[in-house]
Amino acid sequence: MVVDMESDFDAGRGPEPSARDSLAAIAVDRRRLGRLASAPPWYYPAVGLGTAVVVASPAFGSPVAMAIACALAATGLAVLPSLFARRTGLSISRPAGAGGVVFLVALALIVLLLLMASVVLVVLDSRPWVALTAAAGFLVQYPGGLLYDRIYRAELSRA
Amino acid sequence: MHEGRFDESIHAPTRLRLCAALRPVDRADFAALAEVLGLSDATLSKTVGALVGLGYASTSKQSSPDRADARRTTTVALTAAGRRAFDGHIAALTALAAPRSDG
Repeated sequence: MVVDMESDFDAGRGPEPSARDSLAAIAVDRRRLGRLASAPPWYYPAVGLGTAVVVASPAFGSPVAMAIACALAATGLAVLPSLFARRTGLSISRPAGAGGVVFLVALALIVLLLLMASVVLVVLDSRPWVALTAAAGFLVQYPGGLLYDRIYRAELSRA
Repeated sequence: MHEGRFDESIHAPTRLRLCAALRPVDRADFAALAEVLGLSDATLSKTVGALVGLGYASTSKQSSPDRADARRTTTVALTAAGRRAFDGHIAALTALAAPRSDG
């Protein structure tokens, strides 16, 4: 019986070793991809700054000022993925797994709560305290973003 | 979990690895793919061409601000058919690689 070592269906050998080799090679590539896809050092501080502006916007004095601040922050936040794609050569718009989705939803809810807290503080005439909610918004995104990168790399290697 | 469907056309190592690299991203340029996969430009180009021929990948050219000349960068993405083929093939490989229960 001729055994063709190049075939995935070698008699008596079966396709299992080839399947494992393929999956192992993919795992190595995915780890490299995860490292390449990690955000540059300036990325999450920039996201944090944009988030802080949005969270602080109720304290800016007028609906027009609030709208302008939010529009500028949103524009900046929208440009960041393009800058990321230019730097890494990768365009990524979704998490690598369910954990990433849950994490991003949690971050969004926290930012929304902070924004609501800012509104309440302004209504209660405690405008200076909005600096705290804005700072919290920055801190949520900056270490939070780094943690998201770790979750992304872990889920990418398991995908 | 996707139903396993072994696809001989993407089982070749470089084709499968390219599909695996493209599956989690929207698009990737040649330089990024070459870095991740450790392939030469010629091999990568040939593999991309094969996947495009199968209808599993698409390419687009974009002007790059990082290039001083008029040449454009090429980005690659999996098509919907490519994603289905890859997901089915990976499910099949995973089932094949699973430890056998028979003694």
